[in-house]
Amino acid sequence: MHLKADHLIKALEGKTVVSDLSFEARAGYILGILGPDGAGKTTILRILVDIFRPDSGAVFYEDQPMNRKIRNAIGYLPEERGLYGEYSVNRNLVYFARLKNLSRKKAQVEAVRLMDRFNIIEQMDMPVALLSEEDRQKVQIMCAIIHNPDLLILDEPFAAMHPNNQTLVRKLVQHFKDEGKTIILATRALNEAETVCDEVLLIDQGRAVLQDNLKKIKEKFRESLIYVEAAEELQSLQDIFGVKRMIQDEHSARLFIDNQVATQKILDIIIRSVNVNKIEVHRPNLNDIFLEVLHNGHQKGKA
Amino acid sequence: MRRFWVIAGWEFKRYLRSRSFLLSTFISPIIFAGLIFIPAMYYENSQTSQDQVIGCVEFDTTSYCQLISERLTGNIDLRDSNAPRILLEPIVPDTTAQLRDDFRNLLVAQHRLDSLDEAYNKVKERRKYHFQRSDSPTKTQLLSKSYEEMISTRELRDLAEIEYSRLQSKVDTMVEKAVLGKADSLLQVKRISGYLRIDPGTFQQGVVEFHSEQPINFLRLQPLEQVLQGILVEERMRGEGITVNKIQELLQPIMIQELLLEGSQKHEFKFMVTYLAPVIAILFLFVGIFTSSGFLFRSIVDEKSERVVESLLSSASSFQLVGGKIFGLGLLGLFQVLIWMSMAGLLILINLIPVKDIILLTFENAGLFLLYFLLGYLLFAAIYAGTASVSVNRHDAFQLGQMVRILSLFPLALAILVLLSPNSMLVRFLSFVPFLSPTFMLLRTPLGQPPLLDYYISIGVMLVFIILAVLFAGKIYRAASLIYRKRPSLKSILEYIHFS
Repeated sequence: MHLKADHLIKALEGKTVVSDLSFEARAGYILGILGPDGAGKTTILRILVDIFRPDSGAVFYEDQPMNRKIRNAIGYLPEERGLYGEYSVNRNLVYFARLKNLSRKKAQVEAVRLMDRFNIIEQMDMPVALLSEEDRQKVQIMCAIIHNPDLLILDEPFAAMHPNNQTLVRKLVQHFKDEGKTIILATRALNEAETVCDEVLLIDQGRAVLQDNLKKIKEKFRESLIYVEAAEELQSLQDIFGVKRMIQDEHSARLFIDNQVATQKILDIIIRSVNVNKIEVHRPNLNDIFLEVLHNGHQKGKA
Repeated sequence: MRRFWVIAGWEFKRYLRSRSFLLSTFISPIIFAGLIFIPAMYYENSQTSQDQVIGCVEFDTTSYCQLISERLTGNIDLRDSNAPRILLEPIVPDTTAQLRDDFRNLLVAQHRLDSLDEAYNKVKERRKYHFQRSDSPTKTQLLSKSYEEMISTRELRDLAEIEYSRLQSKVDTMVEKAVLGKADSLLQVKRISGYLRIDPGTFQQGVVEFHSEQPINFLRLQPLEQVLQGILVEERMRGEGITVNKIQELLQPIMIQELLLEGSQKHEFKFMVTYLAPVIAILFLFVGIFTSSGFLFRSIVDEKSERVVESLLSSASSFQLVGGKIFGLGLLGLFQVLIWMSMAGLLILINLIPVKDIILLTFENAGLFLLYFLLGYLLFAAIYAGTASVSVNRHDAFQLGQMVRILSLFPLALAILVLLSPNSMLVRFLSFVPFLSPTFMLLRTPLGQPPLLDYYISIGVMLVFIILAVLFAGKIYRAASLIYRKRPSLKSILEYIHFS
């Protein structure tokens, strides 16, 4: 299912949470909506699943606005997850399937199929409250996908997840992708997202700061990066020959290096110049890119 | 629409098997039956085992105690024969040796006084005889002699009279002391609940002393008061020269039998069934409304606390969710009311409920009960849904729920106004206040038979309020049910509602 969000704006309690945001999610691709806490990720997802209505702008699903058929084709795993603890796994699954318009019979069949697939069939009549945390998370994931959605929306799918379930989510997302479904996941765990997403929408304070195919982004930010931690002032490192840009915190700095210059040479200079606590060289990851983009944005803002 | 039914069915089944539903459905009637039968049993019991024994002490009068006792016994036949009885027990003093001696001395003194009186009278007669025989030569001598004898006898008689009065006063004092002492001791050992003190001044002044250790229910003393009043009136009438037969005719007691007009038929008014039946019906109405709307409140609070609500909202609209819940739990409430009606029907069939006496028990009123139940439920369900949505957790929800529960007590607290005057302007006006309407109209129906217009107005006003309340509750639910960490301010709720 192709999704298009067009100039979304949403304010909550007098504060603009989503600011003129437009993006697309394509079938067979995984779109990661990434950003720190409070960036507006959950609000965006709630608009996509029609829990919130945007103050302005619109969302189109296969060029149509939200309707009953589309709602039934969406699977949503919210960040705040919960189930009816006093009821059995089976009853929870059937109820959520019925809410997605499955007939009673079909809901029961799908529930059994999923419980078998997720290896939880033996606990089908056990109250959810008595399950282990790992199994409870499994049931929550199952509730989101029991109706085999065309559009799967996951909010912080790796947060507070059991390690086994993190792997399960990765496999599941890959499986849905392979089936040509559309997946949108929102997370603050940029490194996790980097391993899963095909396309990325980096947001900060409700505004898109970077939006592209992950490969293209990586290509764009392909220069080497030296990360330095020291107990002293690092401002002088910016003047080292071969350092293109530097993002500095209180006791650390990220130095983007001209690939034409030998990295080893720069490292030697750094070590001689400051009393280094930690130093590492790597290709910039999404976290580094996000920080650089934010930094550049602030610089432009100041200018 | 399918989701609406799925949600309604889920909520219905979810609470149908819950302990609280079963308890409120089957325990409430037992509690209400207790409310009826315990006072009735107490009343019944008090009629047999709580007959009151009251003492009667009489000074210087005779047979009043006896008369009062006879009248009390006679009146029982006139009134309800099962009514609690008052048994009057005349109290006589125990005779002590001292009292016996004083009595003996008093009798001797009385005998002596009688003898001297007789002697004195004889002397007087003799003197009269001597005086009338004017021709006797010894007339003067005889008169002179008898004069001395008369003076001497009179002096002796006067002295005997003084002695007799002294002894009489002494005995009276001793008897009074002995009688009152005995009455007080009977009171202390609970043989009697109290005693009456009757003396010549009693009926002149119209005041009868009643001595008791503890205050006695004045209603219990009413028959006694009536009898005393009757005797007093009789005494006064007799003083006016009215004959006994005329007095009895004039004092013929009357009983008031109240008949209530209902349509073209009249029914005998019985306080207990006329007032108690609608009050019990109102209690059932309340349990019905607050069981179902309480479930709705719990359902929303649980889903919010358990963080299920976001998943639900991604599958169904807030109106489907709230509407489905209200509908499903309304059906549950209706089911509960139908169970109660079936139970009532069963009790009528086996003649445990006197259906002829309770004018409330008609098919029309059953329909009216269902209608006002539904309206009341919908109104409180909407209020509860909105309240539950803004709560942050179960503790917070409990506090907010308490406020609604206090609001719900108003109809019960104000119900006394309907009982006192079912068709007054104030009661009519209050009947149109939505959250008072179900209680007031259902109470007024058997007590005041309100005009049809009052039904239309109360139902109309309620419907308008319900529509507004449900719409508002749906919007609040949508706006506030996803705010978990702090209770949303009114401003933020209004803002959400405005944009949603």
